Amino acid sequence: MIRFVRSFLHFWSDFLIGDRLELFVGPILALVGAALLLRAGATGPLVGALLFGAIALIGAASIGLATRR
Amino acid sequence: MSSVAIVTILSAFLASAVEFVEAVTIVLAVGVTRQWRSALIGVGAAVVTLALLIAVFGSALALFVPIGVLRLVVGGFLMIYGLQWLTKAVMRAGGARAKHDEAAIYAAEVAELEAEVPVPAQGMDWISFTVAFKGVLLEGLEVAFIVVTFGASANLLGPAVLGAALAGLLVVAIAIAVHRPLERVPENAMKFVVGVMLTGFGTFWSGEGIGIDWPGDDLAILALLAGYLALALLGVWVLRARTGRTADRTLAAGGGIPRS
Repeated sequence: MIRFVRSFLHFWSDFLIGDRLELFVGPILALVGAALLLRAGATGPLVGALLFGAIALIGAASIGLATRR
Repeated sequence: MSSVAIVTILSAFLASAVEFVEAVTIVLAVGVTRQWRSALIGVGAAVVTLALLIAVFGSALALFVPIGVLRLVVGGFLMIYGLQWLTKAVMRAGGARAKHDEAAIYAAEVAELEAEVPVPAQGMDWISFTVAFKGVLLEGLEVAFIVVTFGASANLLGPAVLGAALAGLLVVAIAIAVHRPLERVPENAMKFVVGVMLTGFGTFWSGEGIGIDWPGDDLAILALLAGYLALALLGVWVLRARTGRTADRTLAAGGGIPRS
């Protein structure tokens, strides 16, 4: 049973997270930050542009990390 | 038909075609080296399992989860998934990562299957069944994930399923016609386009999920897609320039061109 649960979790973490954790955690943090900015009163277009920029930066940083490894 | 529906069909088609090519490589290797009948039964079982998963999860998501929550969660996953595809495609196009080689994968799969126990003279060959089932299920799961998330977020499950089905039919028809791994499919270019689409749609939907009022509503999707495409192309250009410089330096130092 434990082996099944372990392999089940391993499969889904491999499927969703893959070998680059920053591409999983980064977008989640970007969304949390965007939601906080909206709550603080920032306008939709501004937060949308910042979210786009954050996602692009995360992608660029991940490529930078992967090519350095 | 709306432009979002057309883009949904196209995205599902391209993403599914890439996964179907990979699944076909595995099934061909099993069929050619072991037993076609058991391999095809494995394919059938996997297709039925995937259809059930899409029907159950697709309907359940659309019926029971509020659209705001759905767009935030599945949009977030689409964005993460798209970003993974896109960054890999950028690195491959920029020469910083080896390209996907279906011929090499096919050869490795055949060598592995030939080392297994011989095919039984009668009845099912469970190795053929299991390898084909697993291959189609795992590759198909990615298709199911994209189809369900796209379908549920935009309320366009039909167009998403249609795009995936068309891709499946086309890839299988070509595989039957040529009877060998599909090496000439521009897999990286397709992953590049799909990566841009998933990331763009994912950003739009997850943004809507947290309460962003995108300027121009659905038109903002086009702006996001154009933005990600431009940045991805810029990334390829930068990587090509960098890998070119590294190769020049290595050659000048008397070494060979490094393999990434």
